[in-house]
This record gives sequence, structure tokens and C-alpha cells, in this order.
Amino acid sequence: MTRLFPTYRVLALVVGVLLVVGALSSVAKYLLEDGTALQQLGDDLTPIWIIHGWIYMVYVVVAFLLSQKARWSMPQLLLLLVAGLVPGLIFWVERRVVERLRADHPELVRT
Amino acid sequence: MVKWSDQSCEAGDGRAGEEGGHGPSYPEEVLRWWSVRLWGAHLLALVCVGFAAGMGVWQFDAWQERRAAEQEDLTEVAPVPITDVIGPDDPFPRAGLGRPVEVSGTFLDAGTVLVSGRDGADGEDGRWLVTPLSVGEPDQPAVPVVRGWVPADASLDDLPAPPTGTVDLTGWLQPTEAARGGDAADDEADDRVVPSLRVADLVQLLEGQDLYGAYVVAQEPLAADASAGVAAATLDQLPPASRFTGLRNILYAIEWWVFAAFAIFLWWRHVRDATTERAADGPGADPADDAVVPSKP
Repeated sequence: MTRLFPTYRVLALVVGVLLVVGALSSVAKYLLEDGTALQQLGDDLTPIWIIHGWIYMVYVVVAFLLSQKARWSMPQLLLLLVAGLVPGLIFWVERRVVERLRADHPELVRT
Repeated sequence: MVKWSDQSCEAGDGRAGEEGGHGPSYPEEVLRWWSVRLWGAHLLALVCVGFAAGMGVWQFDAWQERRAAEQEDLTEVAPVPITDVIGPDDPFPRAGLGRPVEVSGTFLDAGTVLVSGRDGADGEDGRWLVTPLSVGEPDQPAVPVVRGWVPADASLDDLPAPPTGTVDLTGWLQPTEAARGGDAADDEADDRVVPSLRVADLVQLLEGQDLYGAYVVAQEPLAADASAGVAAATLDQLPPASRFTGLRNILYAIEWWVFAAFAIFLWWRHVRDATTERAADGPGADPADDAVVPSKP
């Protein structure tokens, strides 16, 4: 189960990037004037939300398993989960997770 | 049930307060699932599950709606007059994609263009021969008609002019195209060869002429065109233009339901942990289990 931590980190990065790109594309799609190149690009990038959603499901499971391993409380798990839905938040949360695990569960961090 | 080491127990306690004290602190009394302390969790779970399940149902409905709209391949239905399907200023109707329509009117030769980059029946590169046809009287709004397909080296000079007088033809209705490749492909210094079939391009050739936001692909080339080597054009916008959007809806629906199930699972675990640990409280109980429950800082 030592794979859990690196898996979490990769997933957090992927989810985070997809979330930021998806959010930017949605902003472009809905807020910019119709017909402009950026607006069109935002529209074309809509499928990113499907990808985000499915990878996020994997992220949810991995975050759950990791929080079990590390014995985190329910609110902390919820923070991990919400981080995958708020653009940008996950990068901060991921760093905290790394710090916490390094300090408290070095056996999980070892790869 | 996983057994935790004492070390991880301490670690868990040390961290427990960092959520700003959201976690309830449990008294020594026995917690039951109906205990007031768990009502917050029940409520949160109910809201999450209800929301996720509802979003799933919504997406599922949208998916079914799209499927219903797509299931009919309209290309084989009996043709109807074009004015029954779309008006000159109407947005393109979903039910009109690929629908055979009858058009009757006069060709406006001034608007004849060749649309480049069109595949022929065997996939070879070619062009569409397009002339707007005013529906009804000559001064009425016109709909561009794809008269047929010609090889890529054909030019308008070699092709017959459209017939004059009232013409009746049957074709498939298609929505006007978006610009292709940013129209950068339009490097041929010839106004009569355009990269995409856009109403905006045709309007420039036909000043003052109102045009439909759609075009018609003639099912058969006109007799005069056919004898000049014009072949029937193939439809390139067939009904499932939105199939991906439909797929997207069902993917979203499944996602939402998985989340709903996961929320139920989390809720169940939380309640089980909160209740069984208390129930098992005693000298023999694993003290490490306490760490699962966060304490206030």
C-alpha cells in the first residue's frame, strides 16, 4: 500500500490541472463574447469536465484510502474531497498532505 | 477492521484539531445512530446524496431526451416543403437536420460559388457547386442549394449556369456551416471559391438578399448539371451531430450516481465508527480506535 501516497500525489496534480483548465475554459465559454476565438476554445474544451469527473472519482477513492491509512478525521477527508472541486485549492491541500504525512507517517511516504 | 499502531494513534490526535474544530468531541456516553450528535452527519449525508442523485437524474433525463431526438434518422422520411421546417430568420431546428425538404423557386446565379475541400462519394477531394435559390418568388429569402459535387480542378467557367425560371427540387436540410480552419484556407484569390458554406460569405455576393440560416443538399443533380459531370453531393452533417453531447450527459449521470453511492458509504462508515467504538468502550477495547474520532484542539 505504499503506492497510495505517490498515487495520491499524481492524482491530485492531474485533478488540479484539469480543474484549473476546466474553470478557465468555462469562464471563456460563458463570459466572453460569442464567436471570439477564446470563447470558441472554451467551448471546445468542455469535454475536460468529463475527464475531470472520472479522474476525480478515482481521486475520491484514493483520498479515502489514504485518509484511512493516516487515520484522518471525517472533516479532513471532506477537505481532501472538496479540494478536487475548488479550482486551485488542491495544490495547497496536497502540500499540506505531504507535510502531514512526512511528519506523522513516514512509513507511508517512503517509496 | 484495521488495527492501528499506537504511534499512528498519537499522530492522529496531534492532527485532529487542525480542521478548526469541526469535528465533534464525543462524551463518554454511548452513541447511537439516532443520537443528536450524529444528526449533523445525517443531514450532510442526506443533502449530499440528494443533490448528487438529483443531478444524476437530471443528466439522465437530458441524455434520454437527446437520444430520442437522435434516434430518428430523418434522411429517409417523406420530404416536406422547406417552409414547414424552417423560416428565413429561424435558428436551425434540431428536428430539421438531414430532413428531406422540397424547395421551389428561382436560382440566383449571382450567388453561385464553389465550396472547396469536399469529399466525393469515393473520398476524393472536390468541390460543391452551390447556388442560392429564392424560395417562392425571386425577391423572397433564398436558401443556398448544393447542386452537386465536382472534382477539385473544376472551375465555374466550365460548369453550366443554373436553370432560369421556377425550379422544384428535393434535398436534405443542413445547418449553415461555421468557418473552417479560420478561413485561412481561402488563399485562392477567387471570390467564387470559398472554404465553407457560410451564409455570411454568400450575402456579400447577393446584396440585399435575405438568406436562410441553412442550406439544402440536392438529392439528385439537376439534369443539365448531371450531363456536365456534376455528381450528387454527399451529406456531411448527418443527424448525430450532437451524439457526443448525449454521451456526455450519460457519463455525467453515472458520475453523479457514483458520488451519491460514495456519500452513502462515507456516511455509513462514519456512523458505524462513531457508534461501535463507543459501544465497545471498555478496558478491552482497542484504545487506538479513539483516534479515528477527532477531538477539539
